Amino acid sequence: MADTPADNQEHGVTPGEAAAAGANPGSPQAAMSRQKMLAGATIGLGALMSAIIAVPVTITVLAPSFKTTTEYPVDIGPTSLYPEVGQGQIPWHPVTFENRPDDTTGLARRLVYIRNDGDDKFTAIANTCMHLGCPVQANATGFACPCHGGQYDSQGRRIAGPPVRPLNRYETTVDDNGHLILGQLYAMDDQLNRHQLKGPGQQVTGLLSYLYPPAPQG
Amino acid sequence: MPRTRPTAKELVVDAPLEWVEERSGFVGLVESFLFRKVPGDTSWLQTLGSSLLTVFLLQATTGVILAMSYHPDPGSAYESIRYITDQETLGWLVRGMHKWGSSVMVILLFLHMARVYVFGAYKYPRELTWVTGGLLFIMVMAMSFTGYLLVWDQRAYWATVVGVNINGTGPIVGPYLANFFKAGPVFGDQTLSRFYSLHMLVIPGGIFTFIFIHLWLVVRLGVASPPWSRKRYDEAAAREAVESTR
Repeated sequence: MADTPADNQEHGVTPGEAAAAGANPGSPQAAMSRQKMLAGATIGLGALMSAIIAVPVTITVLAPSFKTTTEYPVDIGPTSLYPEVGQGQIPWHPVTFENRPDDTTGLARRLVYIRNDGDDKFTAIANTCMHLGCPVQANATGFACPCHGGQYDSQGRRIAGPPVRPLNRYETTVDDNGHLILGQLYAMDDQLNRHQLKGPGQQVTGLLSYLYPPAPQG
Repeated sequence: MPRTRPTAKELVVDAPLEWVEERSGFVGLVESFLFRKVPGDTSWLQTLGSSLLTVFLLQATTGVILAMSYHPDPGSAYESIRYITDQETLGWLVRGMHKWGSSVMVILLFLHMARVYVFGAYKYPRELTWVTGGLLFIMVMAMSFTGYLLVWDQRAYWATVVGVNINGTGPIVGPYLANFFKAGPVFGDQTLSRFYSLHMLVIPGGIFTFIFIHLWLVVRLGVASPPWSRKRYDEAAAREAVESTR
């Protein structure tokens, strides 16, 4: 069925294209540009629809990877609960607490080992093994991890096994009521210097530490 | 010539199939899959792929049944599984088949992969089959990883903590990948939901797609003979055979 000039005017062939197509609007050149336009429009619309679906979904899925944790200062009770322990005994008081308020899942439960160093000074060592995150247990010489055999000394430094750095610590302060308050969690190196928190198995010093960004902490 | 009465088979089986075939071609498709030519010296070892497919279908079906009763919420996940195991009719069987089926699937996966490797059945023109098979391998491992957490007991939780932290030790991308799995910076209830969605929807979708591609390629390219076959593998001959069909 032949294309009449009126048909082509309705479909919006530009004057330039009509001229290029020659006096006959039904020529192959005019048809080619319409074909290209329709093909381009189909692909463009398809791309737009895919983007409308994919972009919000991808952002929603990936956004939690970049969220920060909210640290709550946690009050773990009066300092009288954590007396100094004499020689020959395990000096650590294990304390369970929730580090997010109003948590009903039980997943906010953490365990910290508190040692009273005298003079209202406390050391708070987190129980996360620095190999792959299992909970460590206090023993006579320090700490031990049951999962893969990591051993730590009484300062939390690694003495044997696969952990890559010493155990993490919490900041400790004593408030005006004599309560022990746990602050931010931070990482340690072998010289017991403080570093920004990173996940288990990630170095904080040395060449390999450049491979790992610090953990997002609020 | 007098019309004879149709047989029972013609009425009940042949006629409906012919009805469907005429309108869709489905019957011919299935027949070309089931009755396709395979080498005469095919080994029993070459049934491992079909076994794998069967176990996957078992996992998918039992998984759907389990999904009808499982609650992916930290407070009730373990209880819902206890309900399935103790109270649902044959729930213990469905759950058991799913749990043991996953181990069977991984074992068969390794055996199938080893068989293909030892037979040299990854060579031209079957490279793409091997690549899709490798992707399926990764996806099956991901299914095992994500499914393990759903029990939500101490072992499941800590094994997943360790597994996610292993991901975290990967260079540069590792911590972000670990946070992707955890659905946030720490393990929370979002973690269980994310693992459930990955295990139920995302990875099975990928597995179904790649099984389809993998099987398409196997049917199109034919089954390779075992290495002890009288027909030796000859790449030039294989190239010629493929060229002649293009």
